[in-house]
Amino acid sequence: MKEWNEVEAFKDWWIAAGCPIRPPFEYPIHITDMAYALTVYRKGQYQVELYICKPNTETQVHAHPGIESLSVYLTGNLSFATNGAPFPDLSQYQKEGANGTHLLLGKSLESINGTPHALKVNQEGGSFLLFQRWANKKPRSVAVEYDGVTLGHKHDKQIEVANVE
Amino acid sequence: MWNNVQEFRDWYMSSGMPLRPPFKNPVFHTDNAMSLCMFREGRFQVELYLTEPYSTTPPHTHPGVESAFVYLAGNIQFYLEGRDNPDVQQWQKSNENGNHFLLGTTVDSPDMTPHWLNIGPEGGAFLSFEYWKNEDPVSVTVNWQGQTVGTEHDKTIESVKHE
Repeated sequence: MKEWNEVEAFKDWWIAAGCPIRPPFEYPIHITDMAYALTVYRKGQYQVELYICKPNTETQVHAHPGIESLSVYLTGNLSFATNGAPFPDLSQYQKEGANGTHLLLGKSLESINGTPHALKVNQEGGSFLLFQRWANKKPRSVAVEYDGVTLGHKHDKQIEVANVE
Repeated sequence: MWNNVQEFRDWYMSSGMPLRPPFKNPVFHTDNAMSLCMFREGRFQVELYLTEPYSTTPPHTHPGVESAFVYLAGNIQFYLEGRDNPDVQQWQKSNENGNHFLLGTTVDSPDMTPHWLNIGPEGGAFLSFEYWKNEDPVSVTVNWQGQTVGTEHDKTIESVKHE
């Protein structure tokens, strides 16, 4: 089985391979009160999830213990804050880029190696990819490997289901 | 460019499914689903739909839009009025690569043919390929004729009217 030695190498391979969309049969979809996620590719300890986020939503500071991750911008209006820093102002980049896409399409946002972070989504909603390497567990979703205040009833239910299975 | 939604679907699937969401109107939500436009060119687009476990949509149409659905993951029972709608539970299993047995399976949904969904405990993920015959594409979430999914869906439709 091909493996990678770090999450960035996995991200580079996945993009160079043409962004293959092959969701796994097992645990492909996770839902919270803020976002819906699809694992678009999973191999060994690595996976990439695609998140679609509702407008005008925000997480509190949280962490995903044991998971190295790297986010890549797709579209919409969102930003990550890490290690207690304020949300960065990305308003200057809220404009159209090549071929009618978002100017930030494909840009790496944050490398989050189990450290505390938060996500804010503005009125356009938003979408990003999250490349992950799970150190000790079989990959499932960062939505259920969540250390922090959850996002509501749907999120609680999702975590409960994952813990039972 | 493509002559119909089937040509567009076949081109997209054979081109490695390019991930190129638009800047304008990329994300929509209802009470039990969210969508991301993955690719848009002229009057053609493909939207990724993610649906909640145990959710349903009432019968509806998308006037002026020719559609084709492609199965990705989860547990999705599509119904098309006037068609044979086999029970998908018989295919609720993994293929040899660890993907869903139905990954890549497609169903055409001609303009004005009522269709609806029942989603199982796993939730659902599918692609909606669309050819908008009379206007620039937005989302079939807001081009909706029939009973809506609920109040969130109503608000999303209303918000687009005011843009």
